[in-house]
Amino acid sequence: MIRKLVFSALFLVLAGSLAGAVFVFFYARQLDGLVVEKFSGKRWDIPSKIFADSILLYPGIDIDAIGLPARVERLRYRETRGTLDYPGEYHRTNDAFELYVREFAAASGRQPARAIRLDLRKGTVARITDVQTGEEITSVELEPEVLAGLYQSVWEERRVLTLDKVPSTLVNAILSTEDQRFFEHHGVDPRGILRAFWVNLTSGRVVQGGSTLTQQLMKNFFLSEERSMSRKLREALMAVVAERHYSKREILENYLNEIYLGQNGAQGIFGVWEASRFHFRKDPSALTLPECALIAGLLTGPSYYSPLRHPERALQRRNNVLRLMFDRGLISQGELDEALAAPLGVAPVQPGSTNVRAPYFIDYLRQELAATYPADVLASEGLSIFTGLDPQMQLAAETAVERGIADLEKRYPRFAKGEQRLQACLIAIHPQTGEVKAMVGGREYGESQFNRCVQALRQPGSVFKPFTYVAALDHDAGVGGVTPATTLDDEPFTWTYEGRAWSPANYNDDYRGTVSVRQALENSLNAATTRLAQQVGLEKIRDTAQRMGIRSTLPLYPSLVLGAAEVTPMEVAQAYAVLANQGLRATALAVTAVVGPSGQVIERKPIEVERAISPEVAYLVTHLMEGVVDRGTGAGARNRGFRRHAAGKTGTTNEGRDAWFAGFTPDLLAVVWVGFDDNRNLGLSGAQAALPIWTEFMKQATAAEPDAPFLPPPGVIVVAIDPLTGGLATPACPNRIEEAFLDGDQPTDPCPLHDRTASPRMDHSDTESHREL
Amino acid sequence: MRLACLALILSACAAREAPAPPVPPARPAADAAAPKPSPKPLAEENLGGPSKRDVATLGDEAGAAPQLVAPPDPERVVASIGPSTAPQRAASLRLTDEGRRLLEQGDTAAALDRIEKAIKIDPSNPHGYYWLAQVHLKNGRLDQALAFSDKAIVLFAPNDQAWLVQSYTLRATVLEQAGRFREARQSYQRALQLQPGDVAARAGVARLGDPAMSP
Repeated sequence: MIRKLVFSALFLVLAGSLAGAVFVFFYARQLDGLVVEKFSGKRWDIPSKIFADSILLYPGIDIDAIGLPARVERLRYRETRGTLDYPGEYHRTNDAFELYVREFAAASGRQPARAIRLDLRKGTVARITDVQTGEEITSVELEPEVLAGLYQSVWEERRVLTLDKVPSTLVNAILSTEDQRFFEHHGVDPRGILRAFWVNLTSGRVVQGGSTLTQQLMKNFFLSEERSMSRKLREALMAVVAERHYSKREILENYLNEIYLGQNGAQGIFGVWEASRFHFRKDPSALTLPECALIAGLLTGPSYYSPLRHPERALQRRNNVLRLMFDRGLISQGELDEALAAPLGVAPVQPGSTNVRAPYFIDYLRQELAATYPADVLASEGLSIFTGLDPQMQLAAETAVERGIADLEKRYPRFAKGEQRLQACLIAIHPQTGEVKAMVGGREYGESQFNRCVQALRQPGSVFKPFTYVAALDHDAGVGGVTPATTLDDEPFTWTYEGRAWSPANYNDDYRGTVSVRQALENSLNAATTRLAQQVGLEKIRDTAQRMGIRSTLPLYPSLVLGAAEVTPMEVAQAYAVLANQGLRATALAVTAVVGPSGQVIERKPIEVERAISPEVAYLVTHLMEGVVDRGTGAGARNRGFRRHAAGKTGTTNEGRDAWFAGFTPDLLAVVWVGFDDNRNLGLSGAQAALPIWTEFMKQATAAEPDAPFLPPPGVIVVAIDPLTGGLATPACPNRIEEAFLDGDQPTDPCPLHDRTASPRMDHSDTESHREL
Repeated sequence: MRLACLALILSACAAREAPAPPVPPARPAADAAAPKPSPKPLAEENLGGPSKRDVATLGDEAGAAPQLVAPPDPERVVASIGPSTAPQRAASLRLTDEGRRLLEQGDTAAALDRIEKAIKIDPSNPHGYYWLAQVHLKNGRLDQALAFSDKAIVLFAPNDQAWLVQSYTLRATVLEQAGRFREARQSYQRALQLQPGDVAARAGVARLGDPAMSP
């Protein structure tokens, strides 16, 4: 009986063991397939990155005006006291700025790392030399700043390195603390497990793990953080499988690229390259012994041992790692002593040096990219997406909008009350290239992601008027014979169109009688402008606006002339850019190039232009709009200290629901809108609400550029006339103005009103001061 | 000569197919009574003038022909950069020149990149637009080549006659390739008005023949 029982028990044990073995065999095969698939396929999702415009350094550039010190901080260059040894270092004195520019992949090809010296004279670059060769260089490109990463759910910032690029000191430090017998076990280390078990038992808590490096890698690749026996068993099996197929070198390399080593805001820091760059602003090849030990110490708790948040803890942990390395004979006593005495050395985050984010612009870009690239490709293929956004201009724009709104709310406390908050937006573009240089879609992205630059359809008011003047002055499209000196009646009148009557009213019911075309635009006179529009015809005005870039529907009603049809600020910017670009409309560019992870150019968007209006008419209207800024409704810009050649137009809608200013220099254009999203009454003009924001932005954004005039093209004649009569100015004319005409349109007769023999008084201005409209 | 006159008369009567090319520059007058001065290029802007003159002459029906003039030497543009050249202009010209060399080597993509960078640095650099037009012409993008050659004309007009002539002939070449022969002829003739000895313009007018026979 007993024998039968024993035999039955033995049989059950054998059967059970056999079943278990069969199960383990088939399970291991399944895991084998998973491991091989992971290792041979794409191991990581590398998020694509969006870059700002790079900057070119050349002799004559003012390094403070372009914000070079702030740029290198944002790029996490490391300031050194002496020579530059590694890419990513810089050193500044009063008369030189030395920079070891990092290698980067641009759309034009890989730009090599290069140590350069900028000799300075009063902050301006006098000369650029290659530090190593002594050769004088004409220009050098600094890598662009990262604006954002495109990821699925978590931003894993990672650059994949091969093992030969990782210093042995760092490898030793990591192995010392994580897996001392890495090269001896086969995926699982029973001795390590037993040791950890004993240490934990004697400590009364879990202080040591027994997992090998391989097990940790399997856990990160495949498994959850769940602490269970089944998960541990799976992890162990996978580790054994992995070590069957792959060498220690391959496993170690994957581990060093996989590990989580910290957090930078939304961005997770993965892999030793990112950790080295983030904590020390260095490539791993440049890490010292104590720095390697610090990174190794982060593995068991990147947040807990964060050197930025818990420096004492990080220092203690680092020193423990150093002692482990010494105990293993990997470093000498002398090296240990020196390393223990070294400070943490972590590069601090400078105030104001955090990356420029430009969230509205990023959203705008995502929409553009979505047309061509699936979201999963963007989130995983590590594309580099280049843009024309200028980080300095973006910061200037954000500051200008923030301050402008704050100032308005302070001066008009009613704006700060109520649920709806005062809003503003600013868009800046480069007229010649179409590049978006700055975009602020609202006062606070966190509060509202609605991008008013491109999504808000608002009535432009008087900002629409220049299209009437373009149409009028264009002899091919207009009435013929209209010049800037042509006189108009600025008197109340009624326009009957398709059986309906409409009477445009001037601001404050102030009518000026007989005025010139120039005066009508400079002072934004509704009646005079409408009379001109009536002559030109609504269709021609609409066609002109559309050729210049207005895409929104423009119904043919007389009120179109005064900006009753809704448009976006982006449309206004593109249309006005035609004036700044001598009649050429440049296609708006957000993405300028897309480059693959291996540096291959996937897409490159060149500058594309189309003739919208003639350069002559563009100049005539620009010349009129210069008057708006110099002495018209936009003269507040001058009062606020903006001295450059500039042209622009204010815009205010009925009851002041929308306040606009759109203005440009020869090289930069910006449009500002201020109002409420729910269209309530703002009660302020474009000059009062939008112009101050525009002025503050433009003062900062153009600081590094020389002032330049708008150039008249061939076919335009500039002559001095009497603004009162439109005749050629004589010495007796009390006022004179430089007026531009199409060649052949200029007056040939002298001013009929003023005697030639009387003394002239030189005065280039309209005697009436600007009116805020 | 007879053919040239006929071309001029017919071109004045012909309907426009596109906006007329810019006319040669006239100086703005500060005072209507003062005579208009003839344009004089500024010292630092006198970039790339003819480096040598071809003194060969051709007899023609009208008698003595103008001396033939070679196009301006692009190598001289960078060589002319001096202490008085604005830094942005200097950097832009150097990048433009890099682009020109890349174009000559056949690397239009790299040329485009350099020259666009040059324009970003100095949007008023006429040489940038001239060479951008050349790149687009090489790539067969005639609409872009035309727009940028127009831009070069506007920017060269105040100060640099040699390159203005060059830009008109470039414009004419683009129009000719586009089959817009009447406008091409007009552009060649504009070039000849400024520089009667321009080799390319004379050849272009001669090639395009009788305007009455061409579209």
